[in-house]
Amino acid sequence: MLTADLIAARVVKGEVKPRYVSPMDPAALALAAQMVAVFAEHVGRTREALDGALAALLGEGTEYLLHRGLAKLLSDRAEFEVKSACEPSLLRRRLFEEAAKVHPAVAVADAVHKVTRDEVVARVAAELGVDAATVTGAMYADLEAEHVMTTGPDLTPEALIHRYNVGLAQAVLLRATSMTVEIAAGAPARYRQLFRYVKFYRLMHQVTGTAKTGYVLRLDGPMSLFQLSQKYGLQLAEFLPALLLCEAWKVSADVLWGKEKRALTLRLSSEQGLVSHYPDKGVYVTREEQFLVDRFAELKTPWALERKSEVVDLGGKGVLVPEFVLRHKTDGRVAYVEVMGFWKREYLEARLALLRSDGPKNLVLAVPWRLRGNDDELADAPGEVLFFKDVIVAKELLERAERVAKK
Amino acid sequence: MSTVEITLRFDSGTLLLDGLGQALAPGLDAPPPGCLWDPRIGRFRAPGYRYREVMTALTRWSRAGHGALTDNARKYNTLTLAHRAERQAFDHQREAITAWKAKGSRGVVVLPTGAGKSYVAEMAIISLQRSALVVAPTLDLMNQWYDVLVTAFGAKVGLLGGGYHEIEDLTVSTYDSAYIHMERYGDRWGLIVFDECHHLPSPTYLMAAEMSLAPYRLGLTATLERADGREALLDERVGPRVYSRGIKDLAGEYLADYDVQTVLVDLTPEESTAYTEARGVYKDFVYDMGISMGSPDGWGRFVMMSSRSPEGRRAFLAYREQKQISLASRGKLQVLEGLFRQHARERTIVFTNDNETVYTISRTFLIPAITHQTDVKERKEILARFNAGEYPAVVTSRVLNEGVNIPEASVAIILSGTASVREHVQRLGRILRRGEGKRAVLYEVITRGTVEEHQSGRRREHDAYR
Repeated sequence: MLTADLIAARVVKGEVKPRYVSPMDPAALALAAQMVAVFAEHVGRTREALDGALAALLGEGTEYLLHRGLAKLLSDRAEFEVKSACEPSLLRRRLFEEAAKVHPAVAVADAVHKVTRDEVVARVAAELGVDAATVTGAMYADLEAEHVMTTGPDLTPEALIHRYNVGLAQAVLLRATSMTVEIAAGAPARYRQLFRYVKFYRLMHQVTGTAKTGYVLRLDGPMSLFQLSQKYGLQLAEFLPALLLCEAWKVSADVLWGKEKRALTLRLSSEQGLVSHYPDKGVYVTREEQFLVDRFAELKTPWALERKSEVVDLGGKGVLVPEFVLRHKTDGRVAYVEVMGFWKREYLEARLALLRSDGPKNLVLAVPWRLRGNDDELADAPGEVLFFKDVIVAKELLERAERVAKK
Repeated sequence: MSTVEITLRFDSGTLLLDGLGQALAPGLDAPPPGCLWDPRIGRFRAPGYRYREVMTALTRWSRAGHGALTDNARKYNTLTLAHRAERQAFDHQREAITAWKAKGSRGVVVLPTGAGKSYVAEMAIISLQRSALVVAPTLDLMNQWYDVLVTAFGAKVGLLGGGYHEIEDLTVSTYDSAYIHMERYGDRWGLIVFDECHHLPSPTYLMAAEMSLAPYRLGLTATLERADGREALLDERVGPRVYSRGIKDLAGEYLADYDVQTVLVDLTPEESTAYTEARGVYKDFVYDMGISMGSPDGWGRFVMMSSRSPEGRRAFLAYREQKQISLASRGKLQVLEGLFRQHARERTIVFTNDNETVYTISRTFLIPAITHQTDVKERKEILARFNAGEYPAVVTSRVLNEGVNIPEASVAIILSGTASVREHVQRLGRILRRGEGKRAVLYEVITRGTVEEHQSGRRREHDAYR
């Protein structure tokens, strides 16, 4: 991620506009390619040498924000280590001990100070069986500037530019106090993935809207109730790549800008072509889900099985994103279906407790047989429970939906 | 109607009230102090630091028979700590703690560096006997507080920061780590000690204080004044200033006496030429752009304008060059050798402004260096050997600025510094340790004919130099 000091942005009419770089821009691609090449050339060399080469590449150019930003992203993905003939800290101790005996270790000897600095170095070098140059070279080999790159970054110039653009938006979000996400209907698994990330980054959410109009998520944190706080900026920034995995969304984030903390807005959208580097697990459809869809299509029933998902807020503590919504074609009754597939037992229990306290009543829980445990726990489960072994039987599902569905 | 049962719990740096609806309850005309209705989860919520007031109000409400109160928020313990070796407190330490307790064990104590602020903290911990957290500005100070608490009480002490993540009834942390982690651990301590608490009023660090429940708070500092005047914010989060003594009140009595000497150094002819040339490039650019470097936004404008053209970029590089020449001129290194000779038998600390100069000096004189890059163990070893007299001199950048104990040092040399008044008071404080009639010397080495001369003049207007 880029840090706040590397933000390249301008302010236009109350909005922060990051200076994104087009991955099609030949000049930007050329710069990215040069940087990637400089890093590749410096595998096995020191950070200081690398920094020198990067500075030379910038020369008297003024694009140092872009320059340093790309370098930071590459540097984060490289590995550096201490390489030295002698253990630097032990070597230093010997030098300091020897110099202490004659302090100060002077440049030129005189009547009072007979031992020079160079003689101290020579003594320690002789003791260790190396030459003086090795001693002075190794003295601070453990300083960051002297670290040696052992593995180079694995980014292509295009990937680097994508990272840079996402990094810019993230760096602005570090200054954010809250973020509003408008999101059109998507696959249930995508929504669920999104809310898992909300939870993972310990953000608080407030959901408004419907499946028809799309949902609006307001994201901030507990202390946001009392003050505009940038405390959650890092969490919002880390959350962004998860949002980028979704289709059709818009973000409006409130940021406090600069020293004067001016209240500005950052707008982002799925149209801008920001590319996530998080893995997308949000399009996976399980075998039992697909089977159910196929079987259901063969049934003659007034019920429709919809995969277009809804988001049901569970008292701010979580959300229910049902895999399916059963809708009665004539009377309009609705039942939600949540499939608890590869769940861990303790997760299931926590989920049941939450659904019991804050969940909707028109709910059918499809639970794998292996999670059945003792019946008592599921006896007072919210809504109806349908156990299944390999496949969810469409008819059984409909029976239960009939019992709980409501308008 | 059934009786109202209110349960307090800690939630990510805040207090949540279960069982109290937005319509409130009999006997409560208004929400408890600091509580706001949080529509996101349908509960009243307060920032952690209002815990004491919320508890006071709800306990009164409950005792009046209006309902039941359960406190599930507090996770801190009552302790039975004792000093391993009793020692006689100085008058100012005793007075400070009395004044602090009189204000409900909340507030700020102002004492100069070297006047035994850490002992005041020990006394506060003993007097309260609650789980306590000490927050310090740097990793050095965090490590030092760790030693102080282990030595004082012989108890297990946790560390939060610098790669450590151990939570104990006595824990030491840095402001940075406290800010990051307080939302998780804000319920674990009943007392927080904010060392060098003039750092606290920055918006981020302030949140560390706000997300903790601790009803008891002690702020310690040598200089409460900040350039931005935000010290007023400490009142609500830590408490009022309860006790204050200046450097002049205690000098001679509890602190070593000191002399200040200024040494002027000339640049070599080559350095002088390079300095004049680089400064010319930089000054011309600033003049052409109409930037007034003396104004508050001068530096920011310079950085911005210099990023817009090759001329600007050259001016920026020239600025850095002339600064570097005046900071670490060859003349200064020669003067340093002279001072080392003069004080060969006295323990000497050399301060510089930048790490590059630190390492230049370390390599030139083969004396140990301490910067923020120095490993914690090595740093400890260097300071221990310095205190034991095995190392005659140490060179350091700003990392030792505040409160790090070097009781044996009697000579300090400021080779290059910035104009910040506070920094210099604290640098002075470092050598102002009580000793048997010890008279400390502070040298300030300044390059003649550079901007440093002007900055040094400004520094002298401060109380500590008079």
